[in-house]
Amino acid sequence: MSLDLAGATKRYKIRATGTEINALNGISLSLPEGKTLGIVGESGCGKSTLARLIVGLEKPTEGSILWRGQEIADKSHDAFRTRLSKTQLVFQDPYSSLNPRQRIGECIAEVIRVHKLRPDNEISARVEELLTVVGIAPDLQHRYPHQLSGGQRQRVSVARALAAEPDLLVLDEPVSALDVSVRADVMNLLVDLREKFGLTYLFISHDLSMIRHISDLIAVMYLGKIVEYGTWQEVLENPKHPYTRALIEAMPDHTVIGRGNIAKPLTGEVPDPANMPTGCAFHLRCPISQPICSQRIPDLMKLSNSHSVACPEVI
Amino acid sequence: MTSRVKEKSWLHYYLRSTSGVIGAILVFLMVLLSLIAAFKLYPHDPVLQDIENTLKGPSGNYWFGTDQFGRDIFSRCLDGMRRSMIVSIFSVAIATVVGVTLGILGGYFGRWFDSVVVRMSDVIFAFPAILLALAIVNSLGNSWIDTSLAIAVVYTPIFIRVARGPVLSTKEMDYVKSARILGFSSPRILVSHILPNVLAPIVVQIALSLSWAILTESGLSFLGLGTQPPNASLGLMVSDAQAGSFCLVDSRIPFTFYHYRSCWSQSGRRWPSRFT
Repeated sequence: MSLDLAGATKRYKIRATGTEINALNGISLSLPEGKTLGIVGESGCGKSTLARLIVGLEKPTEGSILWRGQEIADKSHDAFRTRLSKTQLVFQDPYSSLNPRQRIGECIAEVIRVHKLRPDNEISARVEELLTVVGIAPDLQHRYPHQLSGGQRQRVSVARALAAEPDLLVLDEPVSALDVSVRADVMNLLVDLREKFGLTYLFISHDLSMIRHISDLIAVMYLGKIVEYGTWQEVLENPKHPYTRALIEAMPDHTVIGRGNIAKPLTGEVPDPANMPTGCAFHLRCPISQPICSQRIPDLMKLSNSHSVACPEVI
Repeated sequence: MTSRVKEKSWLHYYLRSTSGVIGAILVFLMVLLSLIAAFKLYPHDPVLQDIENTLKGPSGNYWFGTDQFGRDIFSRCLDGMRRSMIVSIFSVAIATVVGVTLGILGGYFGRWFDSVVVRMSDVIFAFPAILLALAIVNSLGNSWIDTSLAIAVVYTPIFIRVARGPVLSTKEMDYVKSARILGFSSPRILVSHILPNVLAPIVVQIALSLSWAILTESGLSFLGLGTQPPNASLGLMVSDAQAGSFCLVDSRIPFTFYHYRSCWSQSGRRWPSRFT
């Protein structure tokens, strides 16, 4: 029982220029149920695209995405029917992810009512239960989103995702838009919910300390590819790929993680995904780049049972 | 134990705006006058001719005087106002329902359907409004329903445009995506997540169009393609008055409408203030 991606690829055609954006370039991974996978990477590396594919908002151009052995339901074409899915998403921006004209209680009740998850006379009790679970006083259910703080809204978003009774929750930078002071609260809430409901998380962030706090497994992404994959101890305490090392080095606080011999910090920009470099996508910025790197596309290679890395130079 | 947040209703904000209140009072007056006509409470029969009293000045009996057939101009004003109101409400109602439906569907579903909707409204936009209305009335007929339909056709693309634009931006909002992820059907998303969030400009457009429709109806009647004699219509009366009688007084009426119109649109602007 797991989430399995096999060569998931997403390309966007740009009609004006006739070019293609390579958002995801063959992602293969397997996330066992009940575990949390943290995905890190710079802006534009395809993290959010991955999230949209996993919840079925878009269809992969190639490859497959299976949850419990079944293809994720495709919602990319607007269907005229109601369909409940076991994978749900919490968006990054709590200010645009709730309908401004809907009271928060109604926005949760709607999910339960549409999918007939509870008999009608139990809906309001269920709404209050869900709000309580995420730490919102049930009294607030008659408020509109604009009357709540960012942290409260994010809790409401989580409650609504939970109302659909998902097994897999994709969290797309759920705390990045929040004040630092409420981040810890929301993170702890997410950890508690995971224990309570036995959820599987796919936690997307560019903040390594958040990833470390919540993840069992970590995947480091660069330009639509996974460059390093392993348990959090392996990836953060024994980083192999030069990009992972650079990310850890770039963290403001080195005292917790990232002691070790670190190469020079990264320079330059992420290449244009419409115009991918040949060979290894990272070779233009890589501190240990070899001439051969511009010709050879490295695959993920196993270092140990759980740890793998896409760089032949460090093995 | 539920404690509701005390929310001030839109009425509260509405009553605080001077122009809105003045507009509402004037509109209420107009509606009242039209109702008087609707219940036939006017002092004289607006179509009853009285050859002995043609072209009289204002008096206690004939408040606005009489026209060249001896008909009471005050009664004809009331009845004309009633006709104008009915035509404007009917035509704007059709234009709103058809235009908003097409605009929202086109904006949300995009692709070929959107292209067809946009091209269609472009074609209608390309005609001057009164010319198009003339052509339609000419081919349909002269009853008030035909006039309303003609005006509705002219106004529909305006509503398509006003509805479609905000839909294009709203459908990209996270709450719409999240409704899709939650597995809601498209009709539900359109009605309960998109429509409430694009309503504000539509309400303003309804207010504006109601008043413009009155002018268009007057214009058509003036040209002899709206209300037919002997029935009263404001535009028709202006046309009759050109015969050079004392009846110039009735040409003031469309002007007054113009004034009401601005107040009305002011009042329309107050509507969506709640969430902004």
